Amino acid sequence: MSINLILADDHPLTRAGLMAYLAKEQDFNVVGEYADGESAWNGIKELTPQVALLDIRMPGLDGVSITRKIKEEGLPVIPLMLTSYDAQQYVLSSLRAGARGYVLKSSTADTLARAIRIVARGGLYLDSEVASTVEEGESLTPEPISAREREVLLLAAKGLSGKEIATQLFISERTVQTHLASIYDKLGARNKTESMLLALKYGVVMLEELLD
Amino acid sequence: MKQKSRLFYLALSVCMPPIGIMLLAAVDLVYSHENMETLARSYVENFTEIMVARVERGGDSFLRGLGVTSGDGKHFSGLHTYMTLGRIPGSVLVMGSDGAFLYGSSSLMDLIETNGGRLPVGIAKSLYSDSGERFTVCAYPAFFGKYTVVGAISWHDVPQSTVRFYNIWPYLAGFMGIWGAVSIWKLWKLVLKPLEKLEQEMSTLKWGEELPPESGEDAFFELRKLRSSFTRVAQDAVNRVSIIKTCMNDMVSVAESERTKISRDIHDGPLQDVTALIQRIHLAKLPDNKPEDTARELDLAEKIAMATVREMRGLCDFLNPPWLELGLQQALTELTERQALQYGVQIFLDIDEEAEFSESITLSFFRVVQEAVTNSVRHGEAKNIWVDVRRDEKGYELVIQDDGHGFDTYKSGTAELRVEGHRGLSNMEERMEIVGGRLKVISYPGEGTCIRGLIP
Repeated sequence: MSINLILADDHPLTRAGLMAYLAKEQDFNVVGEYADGESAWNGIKELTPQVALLDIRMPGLDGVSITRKIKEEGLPVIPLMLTSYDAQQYVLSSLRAGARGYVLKSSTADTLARAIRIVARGGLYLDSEVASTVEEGESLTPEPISAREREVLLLAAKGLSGKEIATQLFISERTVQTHLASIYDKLGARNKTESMLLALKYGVVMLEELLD
Repeated sequence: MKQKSRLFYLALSVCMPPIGIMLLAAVDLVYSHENMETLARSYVENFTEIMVARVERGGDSFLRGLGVTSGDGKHFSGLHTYMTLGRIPGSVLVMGSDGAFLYGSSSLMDLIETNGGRLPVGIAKSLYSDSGERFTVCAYPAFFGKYTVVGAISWHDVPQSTVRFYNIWPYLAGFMGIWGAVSIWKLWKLVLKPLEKLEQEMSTLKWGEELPPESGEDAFFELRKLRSSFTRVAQDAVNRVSIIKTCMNDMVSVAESERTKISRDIHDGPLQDVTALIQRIHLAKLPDNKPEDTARELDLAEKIAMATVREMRGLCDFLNPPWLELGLQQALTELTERQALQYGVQIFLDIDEEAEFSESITLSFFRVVQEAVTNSVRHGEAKNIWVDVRRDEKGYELVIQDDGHGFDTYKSGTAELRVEGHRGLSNMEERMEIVGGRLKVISYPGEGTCIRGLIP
């Protein structure tokens, strides 16, 4: 069964490269190719592809805004973000907006194809530099985090500060910091955003939990 | 504290001479008053005795007839003649033993009645009239008590009366004392206190941050002027500090926005190119490639790599153009040729070959042309751009004219554009201002844009 795709990337050379990647896969059917956000959004509305490959940064409408619009309009289109480098902040906001994952533009054709297939099946694909530290990480299961740590992590992922988390959970700010440090340690993360992404990747938290 | 003690000494030194003089005058006044008293008394006593003698020695019918008590003044003809012809100071009154008025000055009668009707017999006494005039009065009996003769002299008429204004002297002295005190108080209030306050304010004012408070109190004109000068200087300091602050803020935000721009340029340019390069290498390495596939991908990769090098060189040139050192003519020729190639437009450069341009003018003109051409292409979609550089008696002139869309300079001034994040025009303005020049933008929608820079 083939997958209908659109590709939106404002840079002609990388767009050509990605098109060459996609052309390698027999079951991928690229129905639209766009150089800016506005025309990509028009294409999505018109063609309702199964998967939309969207560059996070584009002139006019950027990938995150398009993702949000897709969600608002309730279109049956799965957004998959493309980035040229590992910009975790953008990634997290695009996930909150409704993206089902992200791929680096510099990844291999195989990786891109795998990511598209995973999201098309309804999965979540998170490719990033964080993955490189656990290259064969699929089999690696992290040390389980406690229920309390999980709560702290979810609140932190929603953008709350240490103080706000402390108030909400009736604990001291110092305890919040201790929990976070323990979470980073268990997941092998360097910061809040990375721990969030890794938690999603390992299935410690679900994307839906992040969204409500 | 020091000012206060000085003020005390100042007041004292101002007061001392008049106070001394006042005291001396007061002593003198008391002394001369006593003299006057004695003089007036002996005068009146003598005067009255003479009058008694005149009455007793009269020699007229009334005196010879003894007992004729007609009120007719002619009966005291001796006295009358003496009083009328002698013109001696003083007034006289003759009364009967029952106190009835017989002859003389009725006003003297009134004076006696005002003072209770009692007569100062034998010894002179001072009495005051209703109007406050002072008299020395003396009474003597005549004809063995048949008559009483009263003599009086007003102090105004006392011979040798040197202290004519004896009665206003105390008031004068008091007035002068009050006058002096008021003057000193005024001096303190209008000069010393405002001066002290001003000094305090000047020494505690945070220069560049605060203004001195408005002074509601009155002071001498010169002091008010001093205060307004002080306020003006403080205002100047505040303005200067705020200008410096704005300047620093601008510098920091310009530096920040430049960084952002460079970062974006690298992201949108070289970073994308290298990403594309990596993609091509990935494609070249695919295991199921035919040899010609690999060759084609590598060929593409090479082209992309060369384009990347070109782009990065362009970025370097933009950031720090190496041809600036060759002078404005060379630099602008190089710049316009590159921009014409890069944007696919025609740029006609007309530059005064003879003219010499200083380093700072070269840099300013170069940056203005760079920005203006970029704007013409990016926002105005111009196809032809004319750049003229001239040097004449008015100064250095730069004119950039294009055939693009133009824009409404009234709707979008530099300030609005700057707020919206378009620093292009204000950057050019600042470039010109740094070298003491001005920038003028003339544009109408649909009629192209003309940018004119002039350095006098």
